[in-house]
Amino acid sequence: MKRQVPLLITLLVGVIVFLSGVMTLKIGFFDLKTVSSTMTGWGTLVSAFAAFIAAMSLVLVHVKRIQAVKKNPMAVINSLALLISMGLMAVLGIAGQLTQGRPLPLFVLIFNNVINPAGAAIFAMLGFFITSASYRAFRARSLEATILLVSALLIMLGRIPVGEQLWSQFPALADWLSNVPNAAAQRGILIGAAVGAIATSVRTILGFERGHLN
Amino acid sequence: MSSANEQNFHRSKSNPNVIDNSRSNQIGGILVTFSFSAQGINTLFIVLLIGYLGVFFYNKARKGELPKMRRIVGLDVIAEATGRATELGRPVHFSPGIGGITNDVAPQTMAALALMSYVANLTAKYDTGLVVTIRQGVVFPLAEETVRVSYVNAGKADAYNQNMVRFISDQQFAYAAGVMGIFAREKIAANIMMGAFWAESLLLAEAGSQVGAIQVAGTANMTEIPNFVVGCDYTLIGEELYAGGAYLSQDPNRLGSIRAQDIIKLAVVILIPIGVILATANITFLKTLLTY
Repeated sequence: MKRQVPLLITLLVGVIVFLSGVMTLKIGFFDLKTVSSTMTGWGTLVSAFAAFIAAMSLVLVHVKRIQAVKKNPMAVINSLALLISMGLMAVLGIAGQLTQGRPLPLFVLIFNNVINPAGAAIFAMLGFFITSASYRAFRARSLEATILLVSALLIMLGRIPVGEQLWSQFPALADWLSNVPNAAAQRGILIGAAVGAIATSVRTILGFERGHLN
Repeated sequence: MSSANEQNFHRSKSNPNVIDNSRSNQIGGILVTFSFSAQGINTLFIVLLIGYLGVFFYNKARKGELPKMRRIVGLDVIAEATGRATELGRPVHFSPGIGGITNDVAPQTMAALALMSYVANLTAKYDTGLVVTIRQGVVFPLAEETVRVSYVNAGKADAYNQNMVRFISDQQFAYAAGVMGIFAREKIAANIMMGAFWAESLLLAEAGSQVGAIQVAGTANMTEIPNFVVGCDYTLIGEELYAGGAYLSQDPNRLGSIRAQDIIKLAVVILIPIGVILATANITFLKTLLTY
């Protein structure tokens, strides 16, 4: 039963949602699209509860770290910061929804001035990481690595003004590399990945894919 | 519909791609309306074909006619990476991606969960530490249960620790920062990233490289494949991620499905040059058929 019930639910919901995307069926008051959108709404509810469980797990992990302060005192600072900020934003968010039906100004202020800039800062590290990854990757160790190196060099020269100054055809060559062999390879991978995604979805709906149920 | 039993075949004014072939009938006093969207017919055909072929080849695989799969180095090396982590006494990190299971990247997450089961089984057998980091809350219970059952199946139920599966954050870069911190503090020896990733892929790959971890990654997101190719030691590209579960488990179900995928891809490969030639000769019946 522990496996059969989830598989049955998966089959029923999967078939209904899939069919609602390819056909319209109305029998009296029964409308396939309405049933499908209702089930999608239930899915959103289940996701919200799952997110709550995940948040509770996060809280428990960090509470345990704080309790084990003697083992690792420095970890307590990070755990406290996480719990305080998590609690603060949760309280502000809930209070805003309950009282005004929208986020409170303080919530928006913290989100715009702390969370967004922090995310942008981490994102900005990509520039440096791309440089270090390129330094490690673009080496002529094998035929494939040499092709990668030469292609990357041509693309870089084609995209910067200095490249065009060195040879006027570098931009056209870079465009050709991007639009012809690169696009062809991408489309090939895309076709394979798309067919794989369909097959995985069909397997999951029909209950053949049970890796998540064990 | 102006009246019952009326049948309309014309292009919908609001969306020319939809052929309004809606049909209404009164059956026992109940109005029944049924119609197909233009693309829906093609979609339904492909899905039914893949489903039929999957079941056909599954039956063949169950009788012992297992399809041969080419060697996928990235999957073979997972066991080696886990062994290396065991020797070094450092944990293995696994990430099933930052996509969820309710959007268009759900198949990648499902494929990643299947691979997570395999990795958890290995770490249970070798008594290696395992850290699974989760971004999407909805994936967390699935991941927790997958790891727990893998440990139970390996006979190491007492070795399972709730701290193995950690929800980090649902913000993309907060997740990346958290995982990078885990890499640095816990000195992971093997980093396995399977599933849907976006911009944080290179951050995680570089962070893993900085701590000297052996890295295996797989995604079907086109934009991140180059990041993994340059940042990781082994990369599974596109469909190799979906084939991972079948390759490692040799389960007839999954192998039959892989064979079905290959048949469909072969059909596409054959149709492409035929379509190019026909389109060049201005013969449009194939295009009309496939875009009906």
